Amino acid sequence: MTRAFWLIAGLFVVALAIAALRLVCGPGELAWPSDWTIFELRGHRVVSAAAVGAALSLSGLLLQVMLRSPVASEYVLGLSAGAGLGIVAATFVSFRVTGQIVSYSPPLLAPVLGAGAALLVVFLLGRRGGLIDPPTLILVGIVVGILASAVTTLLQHLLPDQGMAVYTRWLMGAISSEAPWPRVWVVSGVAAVGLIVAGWLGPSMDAAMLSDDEARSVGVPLGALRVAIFALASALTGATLLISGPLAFVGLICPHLARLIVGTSHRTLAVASAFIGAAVLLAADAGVTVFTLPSGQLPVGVVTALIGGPMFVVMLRRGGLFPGGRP
Amino acid sequence: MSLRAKGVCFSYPLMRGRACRTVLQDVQFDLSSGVTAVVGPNGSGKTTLLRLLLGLLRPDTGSVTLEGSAPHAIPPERRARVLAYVPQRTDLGAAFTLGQFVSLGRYAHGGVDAGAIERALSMVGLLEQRHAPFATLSAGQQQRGAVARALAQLDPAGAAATGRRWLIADEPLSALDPANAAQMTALLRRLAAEGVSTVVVLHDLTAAVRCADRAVVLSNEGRVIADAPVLEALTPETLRTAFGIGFDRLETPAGPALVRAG
Repeated sequence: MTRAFWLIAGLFVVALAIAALRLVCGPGELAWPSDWTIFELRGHRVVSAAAVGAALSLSGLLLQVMLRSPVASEYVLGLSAGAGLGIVAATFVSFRVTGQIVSYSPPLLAPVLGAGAALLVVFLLGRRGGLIDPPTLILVGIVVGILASAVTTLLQHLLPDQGMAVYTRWLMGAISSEAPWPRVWVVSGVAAVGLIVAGWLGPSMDAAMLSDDEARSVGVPLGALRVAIFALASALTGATLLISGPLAFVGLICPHLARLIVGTSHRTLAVASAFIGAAVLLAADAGVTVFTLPSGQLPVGVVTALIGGPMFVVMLRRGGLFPGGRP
Repeated sequence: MSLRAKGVCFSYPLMRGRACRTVLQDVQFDLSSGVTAVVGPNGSGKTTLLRLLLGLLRPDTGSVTLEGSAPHAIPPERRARVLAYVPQRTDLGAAFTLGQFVSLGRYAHGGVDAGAIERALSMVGLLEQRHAPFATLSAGQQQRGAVARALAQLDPAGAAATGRRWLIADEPLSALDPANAAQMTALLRRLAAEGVSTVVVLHDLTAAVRCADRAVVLSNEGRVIADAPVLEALTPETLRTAFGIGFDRLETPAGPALVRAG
C-alpha cells in the first residue's frame, strides 16, 4: 500500500476517535451516554458536525482549486453569507405568504441557490479580460458577503422577534441540535456524494493548477470543470447551512492542513480534507459542549474563528500557504 | 496533414465592444512539417497567433485548421494528444515536484505513464531533478520542464506514437544559457525528424536561421511580411521592415548568423 493510503487511513482513525470522544462529552461532564436519549442527542451532533465539517472543508478545497488561490473559501467568497440570505429570504417569503414563521425548516434548496447565486456574482465580477483574477475575486467575495449579510439583517428586522432570536443564534455559527434527522442525513449524503465527485475530479484538479492556457492545452475541459466545481461547492456549502450556521475558517484551514499531511495530489487531498474537516469540527463541538458557559452553550463558530483565525495568520506568515513561497 | 491559417484576423476587445486592439490582420500560411520559426517585434501578435493555432482563441474572421478541423472544435483530450504548448512562462499554483509537473502532460492519456515521463525528462536533460520541487528550479530549468511536459504529452518515442504531432512553443530559449539553448534547438531538429512539427517563436535570429526550416515574419501591425524557407524569409531587408533596424548576415563555420548592423 502507498504512503497516501496509510495517511488517509490514519486520518480516518483519528476522525473516528474524535467522534467517539464527542459521544463521551456532555455539558460539564465526561461520561459514556447513560441512556438512549442522551446517546441519540449526542449522536445527532456527531453526525451533524462530521457532515458539516467534511462538506465545508471539501467546499474550501474545491474553491481553492477553481480560483487557484490559497485564500479562497466559502466564507471569504461570500457563499456562506449568500446561503444564509437564501434561508432568511425563503423564511421571509413564506412568512409574508402564510403569516407564520416555520422555525428552522427552510426549504432544502434555498441555501444552495443562495450560495450558488453569491458564487456566480463573485465569479462574474471577479474576472478581468476573461481571466480569473484572484485578488479582484477575493475583494468582490468580501463585498458580496457583507452585502448578503446586510440584506439578511434587513429581512430579519422585518420578521417578528421570534425569527430574530432563532436566526441570530444560528447566524453566529451554531450547529443545530433540533434539526430533524432526515435533514442531517441529507447533509451527510451531500457530503458523501461531494467526496466521491471531488475524488473523481482529482486528476483534472491537478492539471487545473496550471495556468488556464496550459490546463486547456494538456486537455482539461476547463469550462466544464469550473461549472462542476461551482455546482459542487455551492451544494456543499448550501447543504451545511440546513443544519448549521456559517462557520469561519473550517473551509479555509482544513485543506491546508490536508496539504501539509498528504501532499499535493487532489484525489488524496479531497479525502484527507473531508476527514480533517470532520475531525476538526467534531473536536470544536466537543469543546463547546464540555465547557458550557453559565449563559449557555457557545456557538461552535466562535471556537472555529478564535482558533482558526490565528492559525491562518501563522500559516500565512510562515509562507506555508503559497507554493514556492509566492507572496 | 497540416496546420493552416487562412485570412485570420483577430482583435482583443478593450472596452465593452468599443475600441478594439487589432492584433493580427489577414494572416495566412500552411505548415506541414519541420520547424517553423515565428519572428516579429514585441506586440506583433506572435503569442496571439500561437493561441489561435492551439484553439485557445478563435479568429474573428478567417479560419485555423489542424488536419482539416478547427482546433477549438476538436474534443480537448483528442486535441491534446497531437497538439502541445510550451508557454512563455509557465505558472503552477501547487507545490508539485518537477516529475509531477511533467506528469500533467499525460492528462489526456488517462493514467500516469512513468516511461513517457522519464523519456521526456531525459530529452531535456532534467531526469536527475525529477524529485525537486518545481518552484525551486531556476527559470531556465522551469522552461525546460515545460518542454518536457509537452513532450510527455506528445510522447514521440512512445509505442503509441502514430501520425503527425505539433509542438507550439513560445520563446522556449528565452531563459536558457548558450549550451542549453543549443541543446534545445538540436532537440527541435530531432523532434522534426521523429514526426513532431514545431511552431516556435524565437527572438534569437541566429538560432532561428540555424534550426528552423521555415520562418513566418510578422510586422508591427500583425501582418505576415514574409513566409518562406528560413534563409529567404530572414533577410536583412525583411528584418529591417519588421524591427526597423539593420542586420547583417554573416557566414560562420557553424552556419549563418544574423547580427545587428553598425
